[in-house]
Amino acid sequence: MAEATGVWVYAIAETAGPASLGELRGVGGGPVRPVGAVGLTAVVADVALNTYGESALRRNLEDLAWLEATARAHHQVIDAAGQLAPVLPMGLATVYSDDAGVRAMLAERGDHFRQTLRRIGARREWGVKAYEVPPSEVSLSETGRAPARAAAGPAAAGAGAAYLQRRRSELSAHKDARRSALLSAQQVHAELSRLAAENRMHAPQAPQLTGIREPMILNAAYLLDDGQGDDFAAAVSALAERYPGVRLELTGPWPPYSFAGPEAGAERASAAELLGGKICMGTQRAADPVRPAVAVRQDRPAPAPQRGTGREPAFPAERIALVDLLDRVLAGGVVVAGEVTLSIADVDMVTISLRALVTSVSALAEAGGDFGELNR
Amino acid sequence: MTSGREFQRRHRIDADPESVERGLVSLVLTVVELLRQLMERQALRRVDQGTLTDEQVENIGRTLMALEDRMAELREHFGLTREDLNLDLGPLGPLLPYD
Repeated sequence: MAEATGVWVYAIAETAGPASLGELRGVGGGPVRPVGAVGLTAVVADVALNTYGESALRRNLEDLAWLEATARAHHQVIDAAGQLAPVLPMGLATVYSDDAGVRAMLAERGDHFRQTLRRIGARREWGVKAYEVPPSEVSLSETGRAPARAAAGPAAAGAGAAYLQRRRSELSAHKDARRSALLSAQQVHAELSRLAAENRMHAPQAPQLTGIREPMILNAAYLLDDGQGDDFAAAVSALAERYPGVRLELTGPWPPYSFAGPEAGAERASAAELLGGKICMGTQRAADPVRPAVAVRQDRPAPAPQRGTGREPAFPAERIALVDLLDRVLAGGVVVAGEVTLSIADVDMVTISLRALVTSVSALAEAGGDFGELNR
Repeated sequence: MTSGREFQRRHRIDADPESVERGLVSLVLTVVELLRQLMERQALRRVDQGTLTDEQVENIGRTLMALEDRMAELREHFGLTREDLNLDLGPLGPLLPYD
């Protein structure tokens, strides 16, 4: 008996053009071929279900090396197909049980695919990320942390008060820098949106995932006409010069991953990130690594397509550090709960459940609480 | 509750024979650093309220300064960086501000 196979879908096109991909091999090494229905063509390849079936995928997608190789292969096919004709990229790991399933999907969601293809046309996607530049690199002289320290020698009277003063100005300089960087990023986004047919805002990625120490404050995708790339790149470098408080990073052109569907732009983008040479999974996905549409059988009706740029995505809020949040809410008091598992040589030994009530002494005093020794 | 389990697995403090000391120290220092930064911010708040005497302000400042120095020494002693004492709490954001 032959090995059980499924059908991995790469992209949808309106013509049969992208089907003539010649020798191109897909994700599992199988030849890429077309499946047509209702005037649309799906670019597909057969994959073995023991590697790419629903349960196997669930396991394999947690393996970052496997995921990277798969995503690269996925991207390669979409990119090659996209050279031949406008295509709609499908999310990573869109697998159907057979060709009939693919045809049924094309028939069911055909109108949506056609509308989206028309909307995107021959356009390509460009990504722009902005990172906050540390305040010390923007203005070395302004905060002047080192001189203040040196001036207040250990014997100097008022050294303690001077220390508090210095910490206050450091903290507020930090806050100001962050605020102005966020403002700059908003302006950069507004300028770039004017050049693009459409834009999508993705959640910024955490430093652990980007491998870059500075926090990311903008992670956006822009849909540009063919040949507009050079102008866009020039605009990005001009903006980088105008706003020294942020560092801009341009990637592209990509197949329009972020614009293919009305929903779930973020997961398309993380596929795009992955292909950019670094493995970056968005934080929102880390908790649930299997989200990229493992659609072995898709019974769900097509979601209503969203058209045009009328909907402006909200600018992502600043990530506030817990210590700042605690400081702000201490007036009311907070309960901190946490669980820590201690393990020795990979064997779990002790789980500690922590529950602590933290409140500021002045708030407690106002509430008339008994704080005994604490008031000094 | 897959997300909860995922969280636990990723944030486990793993003390294998070589790094047992470093693992526990980074856990303890993380908590201490959180409290230190919290106290510092609270101190600035109290100074702003104007309810402290000059002497108290001076003493608080000196103590916090000594604490910061001690913290830097401890970090150096155990070969830890500032970032090692920070945790990403996912949707809650980082534990300490990135700087």
